[in-house]
Amino acid sequence: MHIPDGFLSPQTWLPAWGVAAAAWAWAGRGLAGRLDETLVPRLAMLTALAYALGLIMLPLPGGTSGHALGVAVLALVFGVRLAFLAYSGVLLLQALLFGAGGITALGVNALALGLVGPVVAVALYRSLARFNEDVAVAVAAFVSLQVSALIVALVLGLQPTLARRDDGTPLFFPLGPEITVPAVLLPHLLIGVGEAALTLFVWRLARRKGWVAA
Amino acid sequence: MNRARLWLAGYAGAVLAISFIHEPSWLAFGLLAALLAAGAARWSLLKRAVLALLLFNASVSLAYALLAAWRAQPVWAPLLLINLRVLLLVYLGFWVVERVRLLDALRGWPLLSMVATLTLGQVVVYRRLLDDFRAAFRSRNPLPPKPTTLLRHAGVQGGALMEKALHGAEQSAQAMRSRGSFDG
Amino acid sequence: MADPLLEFNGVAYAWPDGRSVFADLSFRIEAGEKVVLLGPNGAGKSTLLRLVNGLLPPTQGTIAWQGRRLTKELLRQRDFARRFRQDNVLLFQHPEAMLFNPTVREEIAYGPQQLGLPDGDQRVARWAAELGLSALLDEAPFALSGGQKQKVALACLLALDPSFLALDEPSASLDPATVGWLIDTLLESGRTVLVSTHNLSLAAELGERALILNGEGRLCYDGPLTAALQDLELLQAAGLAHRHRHRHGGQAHAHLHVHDWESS
Repeated sequence: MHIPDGFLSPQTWLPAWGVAAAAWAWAGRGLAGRLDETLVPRLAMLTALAYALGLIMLPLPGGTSGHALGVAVLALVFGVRLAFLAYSGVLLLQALLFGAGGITALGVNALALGLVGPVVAVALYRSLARFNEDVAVAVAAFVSLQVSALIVALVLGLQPTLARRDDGTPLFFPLGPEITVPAVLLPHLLIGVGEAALTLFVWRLARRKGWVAA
Repeated sequence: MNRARLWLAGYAGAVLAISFIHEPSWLAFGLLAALLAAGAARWSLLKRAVLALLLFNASVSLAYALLAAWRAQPVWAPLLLINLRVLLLVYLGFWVVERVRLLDALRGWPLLSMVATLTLGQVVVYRRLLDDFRAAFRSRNPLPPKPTTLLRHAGVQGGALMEKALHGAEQSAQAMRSRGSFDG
Repeated sequence: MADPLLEFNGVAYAWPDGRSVFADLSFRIEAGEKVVLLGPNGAGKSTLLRLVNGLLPPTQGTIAWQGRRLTKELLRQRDFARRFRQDNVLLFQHPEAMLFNPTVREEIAYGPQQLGLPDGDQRVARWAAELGLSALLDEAPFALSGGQKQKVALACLLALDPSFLALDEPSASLDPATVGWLIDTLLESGRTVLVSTHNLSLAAELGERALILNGEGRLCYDGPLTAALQDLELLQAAGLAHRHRHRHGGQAHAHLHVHDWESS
């Protein structure tokens, strides 16, 4: 679902890269001192796991299917920092190794999907868990996906306003938020159900196996 | 600076420059130059780039064309600019990926290299695991399965991946420790 | 003459990136035969079994099941697919990949249920009992040990009462007692069996006929198993024997040695 190259104006993606770099520094700082033999493999496995979770297909109405994201479950089990770094690693691998593009948009994608998503997921979980844990996990996963999708939709939809010629024609992404928001949110509302189910299933397994503290 | 990093730096520079160019003719020229420079791989790279962006760009372009026509605004010039820019960037991306070995670029940063190497190794393992799951699912489902079954299958794949990831991390850590990777 | 149960004709398979797995495989398996598939690691045994199970289309050549050529279109026809998937089953090398239901009971019942078979409960009870799974029926499959998972996977397949059973390295995660049970069960039944294995004792007990893949993706032997087991050169080509040095009383010499991988 991430933004392909060429649709974001430099006044969007350059600052986004800057903010993302600062965020990486923040996320890595707590961990840098502890870069021992447990953290290096852990980070590698988590990045590979984040990539593989994105390969899982979720059913959509009409018999089609879409890719899962899986970043919410990473955040709930391993925390925001590791989830952010792992997902950023995935974006980097996709851009530089698997040729899936998105190097300019990497900052925006990392922030929207890899940071804001996890933060929303963890925050929602923490506030709802006291009522019902399963519901908390499902809601956290569902809502965090929608928030990420909404940010992507808004960033795209703002391009015609941010970057245009004197005659008003767009230089980058040409459609406004009145189109991007429904166009992006609708499929994500549908796939969010699957994402919530996937997150809940893996979360339960993680609890059962003791991978995450009670 | 090694070759790989030079390529990546060049790529970054090109990407930056392209973001500030708003003349379709310049972008077209850039694409032509990139095609020429790519050598024998040029057509397959171009084909892959076109296929990669076809669906998304076609939908966006169509939507814009309809909207702009309805609002009596210019249609073709903006579409030409936007699509050329995207095509050029995607093409460059594919070209760089062909030419650059990520691990070469990371030489000199041992920790990052280690993370990258381990990650890539594990990606292969996890892809194989998912392949097995998908094949086994097809083998056991002569008829299209219910959505709830599909959802459960997705969950089971996620769980299996996580289990493998944690197990792999533990094993890897032990191996590295036993080989003295972090001593001193 | 009746059609063979399974027929490979000039079958070749290559990965999407072009790497060839095997070329020009031709063989027939008649109903009731017990066939062992041998070959070194990486020879393509698992891939071959997937082709047999209709999960992968051959890059060249044809695969026929009961005289009908297996194609994607044919496998999409509901009636054929139902009968095919009931009759032709594959036990994967990693049994975890096969399980996706919440309890063992539902797991074993899944296949019969999908096919609308009326006596699903009896099938579950029977095969759970045969495989010693009765106490685990309400457990979640993912919580079981590797060996238990493989038994559950086996039960799922046998509950369909298939006429053809393909097994990918079954002794890899099964304990010896279950392997013994498996041999007895399969031998007694009139089922057609195709087993890929490194375990020569299992092969010797179960198979009458051997198909041997060499390391270059070709079938280098198709004939009686007993003769194959006595041909050391052949076994070397199949990666089941190797030369190594032995010391006897201070003198070293090289032996061509057959290893039972399970016991080494």
